[in-house]
Amino acid sequence: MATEWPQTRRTGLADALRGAREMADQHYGIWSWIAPVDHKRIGVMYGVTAFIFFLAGGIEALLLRTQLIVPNAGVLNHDQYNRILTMHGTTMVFLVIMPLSAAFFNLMTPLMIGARDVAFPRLNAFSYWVFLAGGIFLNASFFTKDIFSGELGAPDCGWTCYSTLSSKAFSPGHGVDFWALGVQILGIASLASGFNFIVTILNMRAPGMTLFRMPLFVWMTLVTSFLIIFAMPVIAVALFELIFDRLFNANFFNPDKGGNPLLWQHMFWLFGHPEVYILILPAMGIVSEILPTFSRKPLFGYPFVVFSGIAIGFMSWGVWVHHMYTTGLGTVANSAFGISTILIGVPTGVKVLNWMATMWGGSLSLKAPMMFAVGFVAMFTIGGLSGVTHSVVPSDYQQQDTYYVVAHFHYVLFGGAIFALFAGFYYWLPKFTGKLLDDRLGQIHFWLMLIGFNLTFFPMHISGLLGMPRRISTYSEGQGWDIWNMLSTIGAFTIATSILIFMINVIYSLRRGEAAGYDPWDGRTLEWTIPSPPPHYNFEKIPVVHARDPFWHEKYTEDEQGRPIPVVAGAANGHPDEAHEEHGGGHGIHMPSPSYFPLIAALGFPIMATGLIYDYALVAVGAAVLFVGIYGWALEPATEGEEA
Amino acid sequence: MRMTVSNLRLPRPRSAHLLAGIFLLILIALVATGCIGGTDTPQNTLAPEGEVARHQRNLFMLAMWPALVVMILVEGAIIVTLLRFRRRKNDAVPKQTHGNTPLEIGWTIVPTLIIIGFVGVPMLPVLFDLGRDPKADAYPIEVTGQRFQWSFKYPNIKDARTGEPLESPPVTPGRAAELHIPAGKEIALTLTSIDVNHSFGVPRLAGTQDAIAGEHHRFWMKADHPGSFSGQCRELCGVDHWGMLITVIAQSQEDFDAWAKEAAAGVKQTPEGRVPSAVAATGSGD
Repeated sequence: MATEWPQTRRTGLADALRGAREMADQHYGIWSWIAPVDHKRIGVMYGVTAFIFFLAGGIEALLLRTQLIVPNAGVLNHDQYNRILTMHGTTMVFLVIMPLSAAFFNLMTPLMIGARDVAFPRLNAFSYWVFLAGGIFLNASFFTKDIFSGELGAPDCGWTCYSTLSSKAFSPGHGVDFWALGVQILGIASLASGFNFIVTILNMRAPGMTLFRMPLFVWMTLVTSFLIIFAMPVIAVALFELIFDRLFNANFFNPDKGGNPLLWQHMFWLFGHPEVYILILPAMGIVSEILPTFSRKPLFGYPFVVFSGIAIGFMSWGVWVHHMYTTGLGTVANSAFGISTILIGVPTGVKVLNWMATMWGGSLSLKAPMMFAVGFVAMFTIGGLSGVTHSVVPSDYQQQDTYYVVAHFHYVLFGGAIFALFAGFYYWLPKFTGKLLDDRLGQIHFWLMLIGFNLTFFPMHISGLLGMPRRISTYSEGQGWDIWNMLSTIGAFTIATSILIFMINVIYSLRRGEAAGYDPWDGRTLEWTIPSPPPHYNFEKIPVVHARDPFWHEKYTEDEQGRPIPVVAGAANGHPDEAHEEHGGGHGIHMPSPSYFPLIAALGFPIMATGLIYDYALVAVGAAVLFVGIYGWALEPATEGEEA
Repeated sequence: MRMTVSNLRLPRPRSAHLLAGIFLLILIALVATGCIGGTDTPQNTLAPEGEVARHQRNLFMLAMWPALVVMILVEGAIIVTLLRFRRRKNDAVPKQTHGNTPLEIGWTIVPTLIIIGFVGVPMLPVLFDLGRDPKADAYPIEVTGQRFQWSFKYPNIKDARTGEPLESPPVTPGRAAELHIPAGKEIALTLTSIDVNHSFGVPRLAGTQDAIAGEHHRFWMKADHPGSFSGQCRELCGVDHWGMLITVIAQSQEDFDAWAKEAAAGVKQTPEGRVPSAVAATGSGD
């Protein structure tokens, strides 16, 4: 259907473009990367792009750690340090953890719910292109000064970009403009993908997959997507106000003209705390898939894990002031938010206990994905507990803005999110490459990363308790901080080594890895019922779901004592009433046609943003590009065949 | 947990010893961490020399020790689970336990009660005490943060040369601005900033509080005894944020009065402040 072409009226540009689309449709050539609509292709693009940003953010981290290895080091000057610090934080939050989670949303959600694609494939491509555009735009700020003489043009206000430091008066140059507009662009990408996944999950589940039969990862994707669509508008408003202050001399945050710098902190953290859970809930979802598979047991207390995830989603809106205890909001506000912050530890603790109970009594296969998932539980617990210690308001007056806080959020975001994302790589990558990652290299990667991680961040608890402020570009000796900083820096390079091993593993396994087959891990969910890599239509026949963990129930049944026993070979494939239906090798399956209009539309945003900074004429150009993209997108036939 | 008792197995001895050893090392490291309160470094948050900091240290300990115990229990349980239930040849597929509702309700409610009872409730009186207005007889000082130095104004001391309240002399980044206070007396500080956000952190006396342009943030602190206490700006404020240092000099009432008299007369003021240690400027960012 989609590949039948009218042979008349083929001329010029339209002909060329149509030919290109045909190529893209056949999944070959450069055009298949420019006009993708397949969720798996877009997921891979998200993953690869975010990993490249991960390397950039990691190199930034190594530079920072090298500067701090000894007191009074001269590796970076103060200005360079502040700019690289800002880019490290912004990159890791917006360009690494969020898009890596998005990569897994893309790759896994349709497969896990038994769908052939997301609800809006072209909107999905649009999300990716806008993310890429925003990421490049943000990093382009480095080059707005003479980088070769050591002057960096990147923003210097920290990833929180507090007002009034972010104002034109105190951050001259274009760094903060690039930051505000770049994060704004990235927000558009997140919003589009948030809506897309909500609609996909609510509307496109296979028959029989009720909400309470959904895999936990899909649940966490849903909760995260709701958090995204509610949180992103908050930061969007804050960023617009910042942009207006900087570009048009508005006074939202200017205390001299009746504005209020604290307003920024309220809005930033009203977004920022749900954002923390946007970063961690997908990781919790990944781990909730891996632990049951490698324990050969269902997730313990599925409803509790689901509801605690939802509870976290709601409660995350009521704790933002714990970032602002020391701003002088008063004792009543601090008490209320202190208590709510203490309480948000509870649903998280429930999840940890459920994960442990999932493993208890299981038959644990300690392959690399499992090791990373267990590493997540172990490290995230430490981050959660240190979080409880500084939810205590008066004691946080001591820890606020010290390395103790840096240690805490790295235990959550690195020990938590990054460990879980690597667990996801080892677990799910074979589904898309068709090749297993090498387990021995994976084990080396895991242990090196675990040791390096703890060597980097555990000492930060101590340097923090010894009073070392975060975000200082140098420090004097005699404060008792020297040894702990030295250890942290050694640990950072250990982590870097482990990442190199991971990259070697990926390249090695792509070339000569063991074939993965359909179901390398004795999986429980629908993605393991289809080939690796999956055909572009995913499921030849949309599966019918009869239980939670549907694939497990196809493979195992129970004897009279309730002990699981394997189903006799051959009986596992399909149900008797389906056996007579035809298998057409994917022919006749209606799939969306490729489109390059999302890319064109996405290009409009960085052009407009550049125009806002340098020349308003470019804003019109960018708007025109965006309009052309959306116009063409809107009028494009869903499939080429229908055009004739 | 009834699903577990039937299939308990003991770990293999050798790997068990290895893991137990690792676990013990972690424990020792943790206990060492717990003892850093005893060390005497200039900005140690766990070595209080004033009432506010002592309250903060006590509350931190109240939260940290249970957190450490929970951490050891969880990490230990993870290790035991990994050893005990590691897959072996000819393992049967385990029983498919889906959950245990009473158990799960229990481990939702019990931690809530514990955490509120042990941490939340004891926190509140301290929070309200530290957050109260300074007493009427507290010694007032106005603290102003600016890029990149702190300045202190003493409303109770009149500068003989200008007739205005005494102000501390300017300092350059990397040199500490000196704040003189009477020891053993409550000090009422009013924090503000003339430019970006700063945070006034003197860990051994009071932790940190923010100085924000347009706000007048009041809080109190008290030094137990005469001494000199280091601090620095905790909120990223720009290129020389690293060098916005503070030294609080607490003196006995007589010494403080003597200093105030001399300072008001314009003698013995150190124009560059006290140099706490050789902080070398690392390149120049400005």
